[in-house]
Amino acid sequence: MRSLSVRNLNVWYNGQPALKNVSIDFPSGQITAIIGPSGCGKSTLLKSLNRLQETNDQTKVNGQVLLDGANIYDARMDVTEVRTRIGLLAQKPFPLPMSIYDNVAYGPRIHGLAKGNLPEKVQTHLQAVGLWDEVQDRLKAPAVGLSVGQQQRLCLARTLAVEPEILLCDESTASLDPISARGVEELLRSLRGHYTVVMVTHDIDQAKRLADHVVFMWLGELVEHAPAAQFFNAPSHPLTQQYLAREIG
Amino acid sequence: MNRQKMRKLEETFFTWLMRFCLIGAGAILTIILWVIASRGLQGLSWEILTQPPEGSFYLGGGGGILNAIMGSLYLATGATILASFIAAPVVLFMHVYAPHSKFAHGLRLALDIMWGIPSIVYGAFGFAIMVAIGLRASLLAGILTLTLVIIPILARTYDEIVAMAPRDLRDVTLALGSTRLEYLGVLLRQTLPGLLTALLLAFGRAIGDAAAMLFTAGYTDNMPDGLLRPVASLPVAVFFQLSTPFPAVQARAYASALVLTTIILVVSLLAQWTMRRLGRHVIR
Ligand SMILES: Nc1ncnc2c1ncn2[C@@H]1O[C@H](COP(=O)(O)OP(=O)(O)OP(=O)(O)O)[C@@H](O)[C@H]1O
Ligand SMILES: [Mg+2]
Repeated sequence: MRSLSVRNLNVWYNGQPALKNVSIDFPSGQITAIIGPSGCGKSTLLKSLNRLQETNDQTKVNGQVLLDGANIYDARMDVTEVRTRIGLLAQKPFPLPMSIYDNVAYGPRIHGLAKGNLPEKVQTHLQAVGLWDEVQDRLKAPAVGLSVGQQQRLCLARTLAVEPEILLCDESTASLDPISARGVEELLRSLRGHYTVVMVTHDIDQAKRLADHVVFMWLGELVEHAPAAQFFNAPSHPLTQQYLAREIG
Repeated sequence: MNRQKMRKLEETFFTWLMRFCLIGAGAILTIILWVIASRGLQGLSWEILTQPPEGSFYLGGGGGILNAIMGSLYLATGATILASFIAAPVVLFMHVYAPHSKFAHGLRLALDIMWGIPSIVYGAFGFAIMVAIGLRASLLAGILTLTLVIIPILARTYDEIVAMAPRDLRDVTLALGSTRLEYLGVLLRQTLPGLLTALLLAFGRAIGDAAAMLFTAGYTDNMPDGLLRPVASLPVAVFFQLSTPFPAVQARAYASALVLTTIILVVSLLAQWTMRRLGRHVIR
C-alpha cells in the first residue's frame, strides 16, 4: 500500500493563489473525500497530486507531494512514472480519439502491461465499471459515440487499466444517472483496502456513504480534515459546520 | 420604430446581403468553370489524353498532353509527400514540445512570410541552387522547388487545425502516463482528417503552379523518364499552348486546364471520402 502526503503545497494561476499552504496525509488503502464550494481548489489540488497541474503553463506549483516518502516534484522523479502510479480521473469525461476497445487498451499498450491477454484485460475493466454488457458488441465503434455517462465509465475503466497504485477521482459520478452512479460507488468501495483513493465530490451524502476521511476546503485553504464519523457528527471548524448545514457554499 | 421591428429589419437586411454575396461568389465560380469546360471540351479528345505531343503539336499537329498530365502528377504528388514529411512533424513538435514558445512564434511568422513569396521567386531560387550544384532542369529539381512552395501552406493550415484540438486531450493522455511523444501520436490521430485537408490544399497549389516549374522542371515533349530528366507539367503546357497564334492549339490549352481542374476535383472527392472514414474517431 502506498502512502501519499502533501507538504506546504501552494499553487498559483497567473500569480493568483489557488491553493494556500495545504498539508495533508492521505491514509493508505482508504477513501478520502474532498468537499468544498465550487472554485475552492479541489480540482487544482487533485491535479497537483500527479503533476498534471504543470501541463498548464499559466500555473506555478510550490511545495512537496510525497509518494512513499519521495517527493514527486523532485528533479530526479520521472513524471510519466508518477502519473502512471497515481491515476487521475478527470472531472469531464474525455475519450481518446479511438475505438472503445482501444481507449481501454491504450494504457496497457503503452506501459507493456498486456502480455498476450489484452482482450481479457479490456473485458475485465469494462465489466468492473458496468459497461461491458452495453458495449461488448460494438467494441470497435468510436468512443465518441457513447453517452456522457458511458464515456465517464469508459474513462474510469481506462484509468484502472493503467493499474495505478493511487486513484484520484474528480467528481466522477456527477454526470452519471443514479444507477450508474451507484455502480461506480460500488466499484470505489470495492477498491478500498487495495487502493488509496482520493475523491472530490459535491455530494455530501456521497461523501457520507463512501468516505473514510473527509477534507473540507474553502478558498484554496484546507479548513478541516478528520475521519468521516467525526467530521460529520462533530465538525470542529465554524465554516465546516455552516457548510454542512448548507448555510454557505 | 419599436425594437422588435428594428431587429426584424436588421435580420432581413443581412440575410439578403449574405444571399447576394453567395450568388456573386457562385456566379464567378460558375463562369470560370463554364469557360474552361465549354472551350476545353472542344479541344478535348481521346488522342489528347492518351498520347504525348508529336513534333508539330504546337502548330496544330497530332499528339496529346499525356506527358504534361503524368509530369504534373509526379511533380505534385512528390512535392506533397515530401512536404508532409517535413511540415507535419514540425507542426506537431511545435504544439507538443514548444507551445507558446518564442520558437513557435518565430516559425509561424517565417512561414507566413514564405507563404506570400511569389512562386517565380522560388523558381529563381531553385534555379540558382541548381546552377551552383550542377543540377539540370529535372523532375527532382521541380519536386524540391515545389516542396518549398507548399511547405508554408501545408504547415500553417495544419498548424491552425492542431491548435483547435481540445486542450483536455493533452491532459487525459498525459494523465495515463504517456510520454510527450505518445501524446504526439494521439494528437496526430485526432487531427488526421485535418492533415488530409491541408495536404489537399497543398496538392492543389502544387499542381497548379507554372512559374516555379518553368526554370526548375523545364519542359519536354517526352514522357517523364527519370528523376534527373526534364519533365512537362500541365500549367506550363497551358502557358505554351496559349502563347501560340493558332486557335486550335489555344483550344487545347483549355482542354489542358479542364484536365487539371478534373484532377483536382477527383483528388478532392477522394480526400473527402477518406476524411469521413478517418473522422469517425475524432473528438469534437
Ligand atoms: N486554468 C485556469 N486558469 C486560471 N485560473 C484557474 C484555472 N483553473 C482554475 N482556476 C481558478 O482556480 C481556482 C480553483 O479552481 P478549481 O478548478 O481547482 O476549483 P474546484 O474546487 O475544482 O471547483 P469546482 O467544484 O467548480 O470544480 C478557481 O478560482 C478557478 O477560477
Ligand atoms: Mg473541480
